[in-house]
Amino acid sequence: MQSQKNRKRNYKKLWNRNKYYFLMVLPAVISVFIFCYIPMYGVLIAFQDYKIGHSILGNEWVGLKHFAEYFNSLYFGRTLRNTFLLGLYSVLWGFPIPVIFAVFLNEIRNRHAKKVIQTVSYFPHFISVVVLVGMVKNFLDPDTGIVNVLIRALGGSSVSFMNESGWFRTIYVASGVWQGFGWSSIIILSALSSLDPTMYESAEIDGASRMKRILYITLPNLVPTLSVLLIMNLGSVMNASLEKVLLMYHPAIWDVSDVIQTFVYRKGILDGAQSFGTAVGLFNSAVNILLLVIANKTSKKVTGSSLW
Amino acid sequence: MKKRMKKTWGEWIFDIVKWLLMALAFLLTLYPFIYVFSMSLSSQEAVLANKVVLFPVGFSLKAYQTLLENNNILTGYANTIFYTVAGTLYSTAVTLLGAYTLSRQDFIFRNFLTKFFLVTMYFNGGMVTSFLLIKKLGLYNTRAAIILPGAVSVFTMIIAISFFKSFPESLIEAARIDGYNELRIFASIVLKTSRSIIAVVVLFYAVDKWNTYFNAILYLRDAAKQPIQVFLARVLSNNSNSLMFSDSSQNMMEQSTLVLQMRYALIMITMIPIMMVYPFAQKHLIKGAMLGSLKG
Repeated sequence: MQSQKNRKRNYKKLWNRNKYYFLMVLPAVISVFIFCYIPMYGVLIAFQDYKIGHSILGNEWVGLKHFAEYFNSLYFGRTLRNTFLLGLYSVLWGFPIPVIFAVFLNEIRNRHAKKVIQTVSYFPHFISVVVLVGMVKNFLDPDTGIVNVLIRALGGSSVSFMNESGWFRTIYVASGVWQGFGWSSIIILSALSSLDPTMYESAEIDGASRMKRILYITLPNLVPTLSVLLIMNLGSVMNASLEKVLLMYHPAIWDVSDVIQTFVYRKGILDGAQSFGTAVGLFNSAVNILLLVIANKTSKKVTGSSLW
Repeated sequence: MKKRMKKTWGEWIFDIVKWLLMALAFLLTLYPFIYVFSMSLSSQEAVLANKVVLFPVGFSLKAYQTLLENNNILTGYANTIFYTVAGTLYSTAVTLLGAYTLSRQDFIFRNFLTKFFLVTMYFNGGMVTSFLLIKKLGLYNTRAAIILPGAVSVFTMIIAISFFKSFPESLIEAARIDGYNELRIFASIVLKTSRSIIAVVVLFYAVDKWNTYFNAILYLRDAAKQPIQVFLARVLSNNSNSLMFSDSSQNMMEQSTLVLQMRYALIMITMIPIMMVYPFAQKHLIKGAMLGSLKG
């Protein structure tokens, strides 16, 4: 009898608390349900011919028509290649540079200098993509940009960087590395600071030079952190920055700059081909998820740590 | 003691390489900002003669003056301030309430709802269906379209959850004995001792809202509602001066120099609030990044 009463009281307590808990979490649940889950359901229009004004189930079903149209169009190869190459080059440059930066910064003994360098290097992460591209465009302007002013001063002739296909990827990747290397180094610096200093002391007594200590102590100890980072980077290789490409590209250089997301924006939003745009976007999401699953599996196998 | 006396050749080379690399990283990061600043403030003659390379040459506030006389820019700036303040308040409130609740072991839907949020980090409906939803809800071309969608960043929420998980249980128990309900415990006890996580969440959202660009071009049509980022992007993308100018009294050369300096000045005023907050916010932002990376 006593325990039953107790249990009843406990349930009542639990209910009283959960009543409030539920109220407190509700705004976030509603927000995410409306703005994340409803659009997921809306993805069904990728398999229909969507007409404005119809409800989602009131359109004609067309199966994989829009996917077939995309795969057979000349845009398919181009957008896929451009998205992949931007991502690949971003990882190839954007992954090692923060590591090198962090490892050498960690060797700086002057605390004051270290702090100043860190503070400055994190800052670009917080400026908007619009500001970043704005600076890039101004610096590279054929007439007034500082880069071309210097080229002319050295006897060369102006280069119209933003209008030449050959420069697009370099500019995209370099500006991305510039904006991100400091911020990406935070996680590596924190891994470095957790390394056991006695390892270094004994290596020093054994006469290992500083370069040797980096090669044989620091880097091997970073491997777990770095492999997770690298694998996760590779998992997001098909995520080009839509905002940045949109701000940097124009029809003359679409051959190298048109990525899947910008294509979705032009077709699905500007041209009003909603079903087609959704289908192309869905294809991109599917590729992303596939890559992430592969990356996660690899990470689990190689390093033992994973996202889920 | 003796071995510390003399650096070997290798160590000298190592030190030189180390400092060269650091100096390179430092200068490459800092230089663009100094250059933008200098170009916006130098005198017109100096800019015209390509004399500005590092520090300002001469001094002129003409570019800033002309910008501040432009109504489009003032409107854009006011809009951005509104979106940042309103959006940050709303997002922070919703996120912290949700995060605290999801950190509670005795919340019966904890596991289910945590998954409910996590799923959205990997799956989304894409821009077209989101756009159609905004239209259907009647939010298209309203200010709410900038504040409501994406109000909850699940990434930020996870950071806050992991922070709240370490909140001392004894304080909560004590408050319960005093008859506080969960909402009151959160509002008057948990929040009071969670200044640092509030700072992290507020700053993450504020930077994000200040920098909003794509959602604005996707969901807003009227120029009167656009944030400054959209205006800046328009100015940078077309070389005609119509957006900035209505005055044709000056000669061409002077005018084009002024427009050039105005572009740099516009970049400056778009960055200034972030630059001003950054030194104080840095500590919190890095803390957030660390908490986030532990999870990732």
